[in-house]
Amino acid sequence: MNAKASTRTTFRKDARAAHEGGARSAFAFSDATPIYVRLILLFRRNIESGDWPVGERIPVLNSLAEQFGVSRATVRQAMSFLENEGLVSGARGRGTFVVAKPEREPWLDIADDWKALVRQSEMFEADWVEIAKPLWEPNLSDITDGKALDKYHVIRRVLMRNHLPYLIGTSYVDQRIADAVGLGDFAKRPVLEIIDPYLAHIDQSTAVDTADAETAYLLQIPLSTPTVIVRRAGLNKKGEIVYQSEGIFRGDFVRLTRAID
Amino acid sequence: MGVSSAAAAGPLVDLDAAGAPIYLQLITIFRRQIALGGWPVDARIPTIEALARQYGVANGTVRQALTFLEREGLIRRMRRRGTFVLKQPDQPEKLNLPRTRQELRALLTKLKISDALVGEAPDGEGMRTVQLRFSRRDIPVMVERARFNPLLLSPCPTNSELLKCSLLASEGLKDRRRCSEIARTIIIGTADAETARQLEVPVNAAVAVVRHRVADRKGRLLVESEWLLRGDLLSITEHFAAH
Repeated sequence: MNAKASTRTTFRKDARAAHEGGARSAFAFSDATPIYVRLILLFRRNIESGDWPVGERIPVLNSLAEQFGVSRATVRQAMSFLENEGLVSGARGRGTFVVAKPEREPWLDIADDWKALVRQSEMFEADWVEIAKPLWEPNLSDITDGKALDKYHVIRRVLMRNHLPYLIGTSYVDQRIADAVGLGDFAKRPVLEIIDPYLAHIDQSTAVDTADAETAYLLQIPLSTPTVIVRRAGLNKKGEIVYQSEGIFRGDFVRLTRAID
Repeated sequence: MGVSSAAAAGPLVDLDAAGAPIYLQLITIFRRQIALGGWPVDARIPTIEALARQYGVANGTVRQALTFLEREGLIRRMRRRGTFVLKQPDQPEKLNLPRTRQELRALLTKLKISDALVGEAPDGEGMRTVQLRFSRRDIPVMVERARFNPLLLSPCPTNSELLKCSLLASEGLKDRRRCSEIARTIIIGTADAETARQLEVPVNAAVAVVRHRVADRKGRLLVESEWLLRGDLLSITEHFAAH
């Protein structure tokens, strides 16, 4: 029952292999990935490979903590993530059981083309909470030559994934478009899908920040943990910014894949 | 709860919708005011009473938000004289991640290598390793840990070449008929003790982990390289066509 892979190898090496996506070599890359993230990746891999079979009980917290040389709190943090994802389920006094195999990657890829962007928004905008709107307008002059308009309809939401808040998204839609489409539509469909026909070009910038008090509260993460900020300006054929957005992601599972040709 | 802000960009909506507690929202708003210059450095900001009236909240809520910003060192409250802006939130000059090989070389020439180490890979696969620390204006910005296959990478870099430039810019990776694109994945991590020491940042500070991989035409690994870049310096700017 005990995970074969993890009893054979040390935590560091094993977690790194999980990080690298499997049987790649264990060259000494950095330990820049937080321990609980490495545990999540490792546990998911144990479930995926059947080392921890569906329906069976997994090792108790204490023995996992001991095995990997980490604190119980860290193991609990990883387990609660998996529980939220619906992969494991714990009943007090009976232990934790594997409920299902993961259906999708924990990683959230920041898209670098329009099709992927819209596809992503359809996938992830299904579950959200409307929140108070910001009292500032975005300043995107550092990433776009587009012309800002006078009036935008603002939508600000906390988006959920695997039942966890992962993104605070603020969208600014050209008021003319919002009026033409009807505000009711924004409650039903992803913003990007609605404005898709109006766009010709996107300028996007990705940067790293740390959670300020409001972000920490909304994303339910500790103050000052890393976040990823994605800003976008969507231009129409006339070069007007008909869509702008600022997304603040919790940083731990964001990934960008970008080749250099 | 109508709100009218002193900022050039007027308020868009009010505070009373669902969300974080009001004082947290105020912190974000005030910090933006300072960052965007709406409240310039050295200037006095409106009184607590005026702000409370403006945002339609209690005096105590505004005071709570200002206390937070004072602890951050952005403002200073002085008895009777009012509250003054001390400085803007730190905004270091970003490092744009390269999109092309040309941009990659341009970026590397802007940085100085301040530490270097060459060795054998610990796993006995015959790989060789190199570790470089890059600085900008004497401030460490990035550590590169890389390894390469000395039998396949041709020409094989000499030790002194390895210590002078990133493997990603080496001669043997220039010919696209012989090697793949530079596959690259970027994730956000936190600095462990060693990384924190090398980058001179606090432990657990945000770090961008940029992994590169180049293979030859048969798919055999030529170079693998990991950059640990100070998170607050990372910037990726992209432009793409819709549809």
